Amino acid sequence: MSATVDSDETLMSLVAAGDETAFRALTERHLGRILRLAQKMLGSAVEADDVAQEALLRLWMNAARWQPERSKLTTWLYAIVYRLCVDRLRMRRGVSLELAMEAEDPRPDALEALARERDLRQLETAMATLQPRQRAALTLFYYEELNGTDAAAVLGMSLRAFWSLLHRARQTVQQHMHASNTPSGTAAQS
Amino acid sequence: MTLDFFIRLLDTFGADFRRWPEDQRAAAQALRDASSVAREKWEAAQRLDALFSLDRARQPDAVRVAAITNAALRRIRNQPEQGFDWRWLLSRPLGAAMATTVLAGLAAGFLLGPDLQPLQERGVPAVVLLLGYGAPGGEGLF
Repeated sequence: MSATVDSDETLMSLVAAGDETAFRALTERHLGRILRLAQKMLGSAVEADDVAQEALLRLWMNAARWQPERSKLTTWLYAIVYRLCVDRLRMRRGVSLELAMEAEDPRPDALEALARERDLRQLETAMATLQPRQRAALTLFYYEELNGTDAAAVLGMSLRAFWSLLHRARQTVQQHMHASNTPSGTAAQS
Repeated sequence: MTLDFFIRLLDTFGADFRRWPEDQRAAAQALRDASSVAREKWEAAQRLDALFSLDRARQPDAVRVAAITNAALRRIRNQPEQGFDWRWLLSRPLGAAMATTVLAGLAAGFLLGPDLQPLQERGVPAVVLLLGYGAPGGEGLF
């Protein structure tokens, strides 16, 4: 099997027949995006890993049920990950997302890298202030580059509602970033 | 295009006009080039987009990917062999109820129905017996 060039459909039919090599090939192809969505939604690398593992398990168990004519594999996977994340967020209701944020390893100590890290951290903080659905909307549209129709399908909403959600999400992030970069906001952060 | 509408679209789709609705792109670009406020807003949106791209470029390292995949495979291998999974019936309650009713009806018919042996002995075909005899007044046919 030439796993690197096989289509998702071919690999999924092999996975449905119990082929672990095909499973690894699919994992290599899609795990990055699964992790990205999970981590953006949960704000925790450890929990994102758990969700990714669970999503892979579901991919294996439900491979035969996936219908390529109804949805792309990525859309199907995002929907699984999104639901798993929502379930986790429901379980930890009452726990501040800020507390769940984890410190990431520091990058090389060049000034530029530090500034970039600071910006990314600000972005993470801004994302953490969003509602889970807003975080998912931003991630699917700007990070995963899904079109509006597919992203709306993952979140189970109309396209119109999705645009509105995306607008509110981006506006909130922008306002948060702006506030962080003003002198009083910067002082509050440090 | 008004400035307010431009800002609204900018706050939804970002600075990359390729993401914008096709019928709005030309007007938006024209406004950005003509209005200093529109341009300022567009540049701010571009800075946020750049940050999204930077964040997006951070890929999980190979060790992490391998660890997750191996853990998932371990769970898959350790799963007990599944027999018939009845849980799918819960997602189709109407179908399950109808199927149960049909099966219960058949069972009741076989257990409580009249003895067809005498009619079979008279040479009445089995299909006629099945379709006609059980119906109200079916006995009169013979």
